Amino acid sequence: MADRSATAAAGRRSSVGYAERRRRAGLLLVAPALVVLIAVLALPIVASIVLAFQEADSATGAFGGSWVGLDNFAAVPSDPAFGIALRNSVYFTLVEVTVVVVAGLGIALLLNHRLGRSGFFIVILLIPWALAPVANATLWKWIYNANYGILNVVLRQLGVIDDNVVWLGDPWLALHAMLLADIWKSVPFIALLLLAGLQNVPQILYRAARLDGASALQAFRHVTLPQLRTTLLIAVVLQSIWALKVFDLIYVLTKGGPADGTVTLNFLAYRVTFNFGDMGYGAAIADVLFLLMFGLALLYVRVFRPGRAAVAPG
Amino acid sequence: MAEVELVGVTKRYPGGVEAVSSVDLRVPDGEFVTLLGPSGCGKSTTLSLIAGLDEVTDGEIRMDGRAVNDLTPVERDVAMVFQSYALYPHMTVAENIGFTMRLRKRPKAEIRERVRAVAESLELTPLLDRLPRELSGGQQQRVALGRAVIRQPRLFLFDEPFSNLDAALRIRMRSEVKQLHQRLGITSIFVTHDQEEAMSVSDRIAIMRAGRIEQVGTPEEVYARPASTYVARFIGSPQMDILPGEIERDAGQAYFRVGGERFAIPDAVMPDGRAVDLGIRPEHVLVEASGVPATVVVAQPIGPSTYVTLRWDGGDLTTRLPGMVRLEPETVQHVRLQPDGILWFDRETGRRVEAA
Amino acid sequence: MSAMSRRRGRRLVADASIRILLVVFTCWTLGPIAWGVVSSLLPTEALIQTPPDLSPAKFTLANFEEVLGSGHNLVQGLLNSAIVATLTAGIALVLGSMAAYALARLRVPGGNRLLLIVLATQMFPGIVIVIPLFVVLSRAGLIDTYAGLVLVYLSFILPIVIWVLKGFFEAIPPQLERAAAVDGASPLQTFRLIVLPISLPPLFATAVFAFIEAWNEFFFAIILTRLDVKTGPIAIAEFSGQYQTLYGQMVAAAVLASIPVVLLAVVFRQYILKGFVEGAVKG
Repeated sequence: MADRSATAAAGRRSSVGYAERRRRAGLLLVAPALVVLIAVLALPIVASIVLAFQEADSATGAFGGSWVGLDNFAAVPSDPAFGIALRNSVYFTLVEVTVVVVAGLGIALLLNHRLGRSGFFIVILLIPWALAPVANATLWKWIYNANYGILNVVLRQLGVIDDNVVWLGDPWLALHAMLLADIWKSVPFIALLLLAGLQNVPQILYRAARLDGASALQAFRHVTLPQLRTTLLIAVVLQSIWALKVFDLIYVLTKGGPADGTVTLNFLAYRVTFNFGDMGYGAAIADVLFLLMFGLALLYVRVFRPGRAAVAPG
Repeated sequence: MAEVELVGVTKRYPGGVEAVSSVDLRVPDGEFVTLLGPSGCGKSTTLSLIAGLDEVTDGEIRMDGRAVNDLTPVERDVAMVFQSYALYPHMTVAENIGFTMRLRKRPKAEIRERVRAVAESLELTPLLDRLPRELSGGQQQRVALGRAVIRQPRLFLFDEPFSNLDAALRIRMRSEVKQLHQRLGITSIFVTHDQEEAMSVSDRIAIMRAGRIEQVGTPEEVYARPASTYVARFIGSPQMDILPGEIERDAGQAYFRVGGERFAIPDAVMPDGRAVDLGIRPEHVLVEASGVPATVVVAQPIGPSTYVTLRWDGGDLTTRLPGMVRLEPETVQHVRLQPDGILWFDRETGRRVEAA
Repeated sequence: MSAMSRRRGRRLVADASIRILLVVFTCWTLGPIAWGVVSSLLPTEALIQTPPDLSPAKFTLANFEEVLGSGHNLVQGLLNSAIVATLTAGIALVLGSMAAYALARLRVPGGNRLLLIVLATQMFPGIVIVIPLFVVLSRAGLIDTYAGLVLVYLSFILPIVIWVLKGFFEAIPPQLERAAAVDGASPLQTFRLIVLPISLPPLFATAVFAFIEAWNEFFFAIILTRLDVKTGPIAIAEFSGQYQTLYGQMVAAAVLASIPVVLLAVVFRQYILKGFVEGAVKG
């Protein structure tokens, strides 16, 4: 009996049903995060888009510039630096994504094999992943050092080269040196991602394939790859975005040189904004970069979407 | 204690699908009613609506005459036992049972005392400090019962609580729930797809089909006087035999012709002349010295009785014979229909037709 | 040869190749790290020999001593990183778990679309938002403050936290929450008393991940801080800029700044793996 009044009290006379209560609670819980994200993400993005339409430099300040419409964007194609940066970005991204995903898949297959199941391998994969990009860059700067770097020492000992190579002194070499450094750091995460994808493939499919007489290679082509479709797509999209965003590596290793050989779109936007002080133009480049990334993501989804795996979702 | 009434209750989802269509049901205070039906018939949804966990699209749910559509579950004073037990995995048995009182900020001593009493009544005392994952399915279900009982609610709701238990345990738990109901007398609404379960625990059964209630009645009523072939087939195991056939008269004797054979039907049980099917339960299919010849297909002795499938020109019939009977396949037996077990169903609508 | 022994022979060859590949993989992954650690333990004179002088006698902790010394800002930098990363992880967890639960369970209108938009913003490089942020922060006097940096870090850490935790909360059996509602818990009570306590592992994993991301961040740090809140990565970058001929020290600084996050990742790897990698697979 005492509980009856307790119920009434606890129930709190309200004409709001269960479903409505939940909706209100939901709004309440989402609000703080939403406020923060609007303040530090949404508004700055909008401001940055507006900035791209303005002539603003360190003299006028970011919000004091004058409206110049599409001038900044128009300047983009005719800017030689932009062309170089675009070329570098595209090349860097294509190569990195291909190598990282293929190598990652290879490693994932290795670790999924009976012999590779040790936790030790997972641990060593986590180390490059956990490193700060700046720390990674420092490490490779040391490895690539022309006079004392271990790469030159080893290659000379093996007789592959006669003299020290200035890895970071030649535009072509520097770009590839950077690629190697970033690939080395990026492979672990993709490998772990693909490994999880592999472990999600129902074992029974392999058994059925074996009964049907499939070889290991055929099983890979007809069972593994289709099941991995979604995960591969995610891996490719994520890695593409990260490749285009590379900054710390460039800053520490080459600062864009030599001769703009390692300037990417991201770094160009930074340089234009902070070294040249042209904030409007810098914002325009950054926005172009975003459009590029967004377009890429849409493209990938379009390409990979048709042909969902017939069995369990990946 | 509460009387529950559903008036035209409908649950429609965006997209037009109606899980519950204009359901009317009255559950008097203290009654144990079961919502029975196959998966997807809307019984669990109806229960959610009564509990207040889902919003009613149309219609009203009343408790003791008051509309409760806008009230939360706790405001409706209902307790619920779920199919998956839904015990809080990070709390001990004692904490699980006492959670609802803790939410009401009752003093610790009172909570401890009430939990102890409930645990004792359900033989859970030695398990009070365990975590749910350390318990067996049956023990977990009793904890779920305890969690509901401690509330002393107006209404008990059970959502297929025993589906996850093995057969022997299920039968034991049915008995426990029935005893609980007899002891506490709280209005209870029980959902299951198992007709035997419904028959064994309920005061009344509401058979549901595609969001509507097909029939409400006591176990005796739905068994002996099913409202339609749907109900007739759903209740009772093995299933009732429904024979499509024609009524004919010959020399003053009525017959029901099915295929090449015909069964003699006494005038007393003749239906009102429409196109009808004949329904008969296996225990009313008699194997005797004379009658329609049929061949034994298979005999399944289950202990107290033997189910025999007989095949004749017009189809198959199942009969239930007492005891363990050995019948060789391919032998011929003779079948007669017990008159007071004959039911008639309108061929078009499936609804039962009374004797003329 | 019988079929049996032929198959066994093939298997031995396959196994041997796998083992070789595993060795190659291990060397490739650990090689640079091993060299980095070794370099940090050798004095610069030993390192600039050709080939480098790797004799055991030469190993020393001198680089670390130097680098931690008062002449440099490394200690302060690491401390700042610790403070910023902890604050960021903490706030991201609180705000993010609330939002994730709301989106997962509480039918927030437009919730899914909102989340996709937020995820799309992850494609922006920092350069896009750093100028407006810089202006606003300097006007608010938050340049070179912990609060300022943490706020900015939330812009890219909060979305990921929400995304991952949403996946976890969606996996909680709904009947558990319904039972809580029947017991009388409000949605907020359900969140606090039921959902959170049973979600400790993913919450933990997310916190660790957020910490690592905040600790390693460089771009915003270098633009939005000056001297007070200079973080670890900035200090390392200085080493490879200013003191770059002191090779041993340069690498030692990098090693020191990496030890905390590598340790975290390895110690909590079960949580991280279950959380992120699988969360990403489910999509």
